[in-house]
Amino acid sequence: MTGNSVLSVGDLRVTYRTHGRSVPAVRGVSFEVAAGETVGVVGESGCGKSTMAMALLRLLPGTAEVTGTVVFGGEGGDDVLTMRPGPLRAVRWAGMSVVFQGAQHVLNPVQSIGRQIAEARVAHQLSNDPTVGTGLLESVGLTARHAHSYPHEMSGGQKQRVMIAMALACDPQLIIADEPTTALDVMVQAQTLELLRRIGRERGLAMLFVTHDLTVLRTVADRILVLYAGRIVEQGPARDVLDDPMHPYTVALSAASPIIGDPRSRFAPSSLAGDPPDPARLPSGCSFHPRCPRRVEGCDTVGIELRRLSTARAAACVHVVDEGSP
Amino acid sequence: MTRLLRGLRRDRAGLSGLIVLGLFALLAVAAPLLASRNELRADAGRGRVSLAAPSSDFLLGTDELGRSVAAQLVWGARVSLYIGILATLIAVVVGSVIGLIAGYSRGWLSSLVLAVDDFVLVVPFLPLAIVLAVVLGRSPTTMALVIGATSWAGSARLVRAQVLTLRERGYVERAITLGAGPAHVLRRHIVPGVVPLIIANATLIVPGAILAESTLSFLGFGDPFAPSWGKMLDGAQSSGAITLNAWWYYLPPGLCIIAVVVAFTLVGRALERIVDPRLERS
Repeated sequence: MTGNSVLSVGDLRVTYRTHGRSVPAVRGVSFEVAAGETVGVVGESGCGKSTMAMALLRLLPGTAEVTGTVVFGGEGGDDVLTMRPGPLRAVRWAGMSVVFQGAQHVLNPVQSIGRQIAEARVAHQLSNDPTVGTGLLESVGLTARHAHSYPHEMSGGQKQRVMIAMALACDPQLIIADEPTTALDVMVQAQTLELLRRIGRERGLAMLFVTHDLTVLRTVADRILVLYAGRIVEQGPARDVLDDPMHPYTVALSAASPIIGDPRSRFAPSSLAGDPPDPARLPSGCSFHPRCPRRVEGCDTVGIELRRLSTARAAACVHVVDEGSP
Repeated sequence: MTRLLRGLRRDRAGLSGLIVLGLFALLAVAAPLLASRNELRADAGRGRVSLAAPSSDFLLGTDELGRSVAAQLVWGARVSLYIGILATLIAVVVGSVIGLIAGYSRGWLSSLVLAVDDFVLVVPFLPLAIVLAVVLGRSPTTMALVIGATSWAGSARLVRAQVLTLRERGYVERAITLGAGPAHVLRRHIVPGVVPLIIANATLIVPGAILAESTLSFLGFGDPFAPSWGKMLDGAQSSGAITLNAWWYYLPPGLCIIAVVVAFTLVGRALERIVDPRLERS
């Protein structure tokens, strides 16, 4: 554990229990987020990335059983998973805040934007100075005038900016961005990413950026975790993971988007056959083996733990040569 | 609120209901100017002809004690509206609180509250109301209490259903995420969402409460010192006004009850249409 980590997650497991069945959605994820660092979490739909993000603030429904540790606030910080309701509410938003996907549904249609941005400060008994709200709006590229607007009067991109302003309302140390650009068109997506990156830098914020789009992480992330079937299958510095992916799944993910400047890649779209496995019926051995192009003898029986390549990089694949235990 | 009023102005049925209600409210407020309260006393009609037909002295004739029917009708508007509105307030407040608890809490509390609600919903109204009226004594206020205490279950159901849909909205999830406690979520996001529904529902409970009051009074559980329209019908029935064809005694209170009930229903339906856009299309 490094001294300056804001968030330290140890062996996080989330299992949904419904109708007597148990569905493991997250299966032992460990990682850290350092102060000021942006960690990207990438994976297909259904790989457990949103479940993992929501588990960090205990926002999952009662049917989800969460184990492991989520230590917030560096060394000597408290475990979010065992906190009492009072301290938990204090950590929510003032410690870790969330930029949700689909701002459309997350804003109350009958309340003005200014009132909704102030809501977090009201809930945390902070000063209710209206200039704080307008300052936040201006910092995300909106104007003070927008405080009097209602959600239906704004565009999708503006609403997403409001979500970011809202996330900043209580000066958190960490922002969890759960697919913040998913519902936006490409231009607005780029602007929103740029905004998030700028604000992260300016305020020295740590960020956990959850997305299914690996290319998005090129803009924002310092480090990347690749999630598959509820486990980290590869992790490392963003540039290394993007330019030189080790795990066949990461290779397939990055091959799914064309490389600008390389015309050949546009005519040879490589996509991965099949869907991510049903968490209720996980394949034996390596969860990825039924879809893996580099499958070898034994992949369907022996599960592979993360193998460390260097101090920063690790991947869970038989083809990766272990250079010391993780 | 402004949306409700604006919508009501465009709804012809609702508007006419509102006008009728306004007239009755004026009647109730202006009662002391229109008729002397002494006219309600049992000895007020001494020396007069009982069950006299309408004349210039008594616009709606007299009752079996020789008292002015018109005076009773004017004062009865007060009692009937007072009981109807107070009973509705009680029913709506109790129903909303119960509905909020049933809808927002989880686990045993929700089940318990819902079970109580179901119980009140299935208990037959009249026997329960009669027992309560006997136990609590006779006055317009206790009458309102009795009616209110027996008619909140429907609104509780309605509020609960609305709360169940509101609590799953994204902005409620956001509020919880930003560290808001249940009190904040309820006050900020849930209650504002159910208030229009409650207002519309209240206007639909009033006619039921007025009818309930009339029923109880007609059955003899009303306050003889504060005659409502229902009590007048009771008097007409027991004095034989109906067999004697003294229509001026039983027709006016009956028509007033019908007019107020219909007016409230029209306004309530109009509000419901405004609050719930789905009804407008059908």
